[in-house]
Amino acid sequence: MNSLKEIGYDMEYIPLSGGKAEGFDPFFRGACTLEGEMIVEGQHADQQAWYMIVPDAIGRVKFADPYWLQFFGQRVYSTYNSGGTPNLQYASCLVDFKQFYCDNAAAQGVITGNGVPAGSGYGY
Amino acid sequence: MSTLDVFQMLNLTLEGVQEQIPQVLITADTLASRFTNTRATRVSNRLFRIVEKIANAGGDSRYVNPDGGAAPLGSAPQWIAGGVTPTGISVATNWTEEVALIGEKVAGVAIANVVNEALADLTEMHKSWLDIGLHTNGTGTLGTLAAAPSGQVATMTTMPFGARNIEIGQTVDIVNPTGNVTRGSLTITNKTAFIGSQNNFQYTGAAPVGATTNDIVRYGGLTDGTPVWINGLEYLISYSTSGNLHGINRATTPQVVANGFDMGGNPITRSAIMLLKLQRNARVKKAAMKGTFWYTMKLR
Repeated sequence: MNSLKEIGYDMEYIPLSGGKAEGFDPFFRGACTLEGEMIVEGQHADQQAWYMIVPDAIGRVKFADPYWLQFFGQRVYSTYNSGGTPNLQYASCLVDFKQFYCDNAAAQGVITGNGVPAGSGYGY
Repeated sequence: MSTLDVFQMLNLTLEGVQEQIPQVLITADTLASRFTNTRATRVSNRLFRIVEKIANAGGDSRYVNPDGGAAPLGSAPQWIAGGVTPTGISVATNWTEEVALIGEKVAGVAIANVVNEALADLTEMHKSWLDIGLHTNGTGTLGTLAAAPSGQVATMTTMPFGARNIEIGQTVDIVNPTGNVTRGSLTITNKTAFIGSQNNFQYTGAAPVGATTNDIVRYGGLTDGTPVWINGLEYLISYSTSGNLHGINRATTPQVVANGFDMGGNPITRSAIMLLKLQRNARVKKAAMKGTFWYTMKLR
């Protein structure tokens, strides 16, 4: 995303009203798009990849919707010591059994191995 | 004579505590939430079959001699099929009776309802873990070690995820990449996941014997050999021609190979983005591109 904006910085035309740079902001505001297609930024995302995703081609299978494990009808359950008596300690667990699949890989794309833009000091 | 100094009134002073607790952490379901409206099918433990059509009937087109020539038989449509079955994510927490007693937001007792908050956290973390899963390679790899753990610190390879996709409190498996064999587990007590610097995590207990550079930091509880966890982008959308997609050989079935290429460490360019679009446009119908979005990390 940063690199894409670097392209934009090179291309942008900055009108300086009255020759003054007041109000000049070297960063973008608002959402960028690529030929009208939305760009989504993820905090868990691969630092080096740009994906082109068609969500309709990504499906899911599941045993059930996410649910809380229940023991004796309770979502909160006791732990037990080695003698089989309950401890004064409790636990609760949310589980989700699912998997994702892609049934049209040809509609998807990815550019890997992207570097940081010129001007970034770090080689990460 | 005694002096009324601070020490004398020590039993009278109160300890203040702020009631607003900032969250110095991230949880995100940016990608997972994009797939919430995609098809969801309830299945059994049998492999769910994924069928794709790769050829129409009529692929065999030829000139027919009207002057007594032979009528053609033509060709048949062709389909390929792969399969998936669900895997699992769990998030859990625990507390003691005493925590339940004193973990109540009551003046002079506690500033938060600890148990309620912990249970609410699970719902948030479930979404976050699903999102993390969607960034993995399908085998539960969350990152790799850049060096052998030492002094309760494990350095992680900064690219592509560093320590961003592991969590404090998590017990991860440290896995020998040769044969995908678990060496042991580590419980993460804290992590450094700065962008632009070396990433690491702190752990408790002894490091697994033999843990070393390039070892896989894997989501806990998976099976050695051929571990299977959430199919992430790295698995679902790959231009690699080795391996398989849902059991379909990428080497012999190009339809399961995604478009793409490697920038070789160079920043993204307009030309590269255009090339990717053109690669895709040359392979599928326009209807199959509906809803396209781009997905990346802010840094690139």
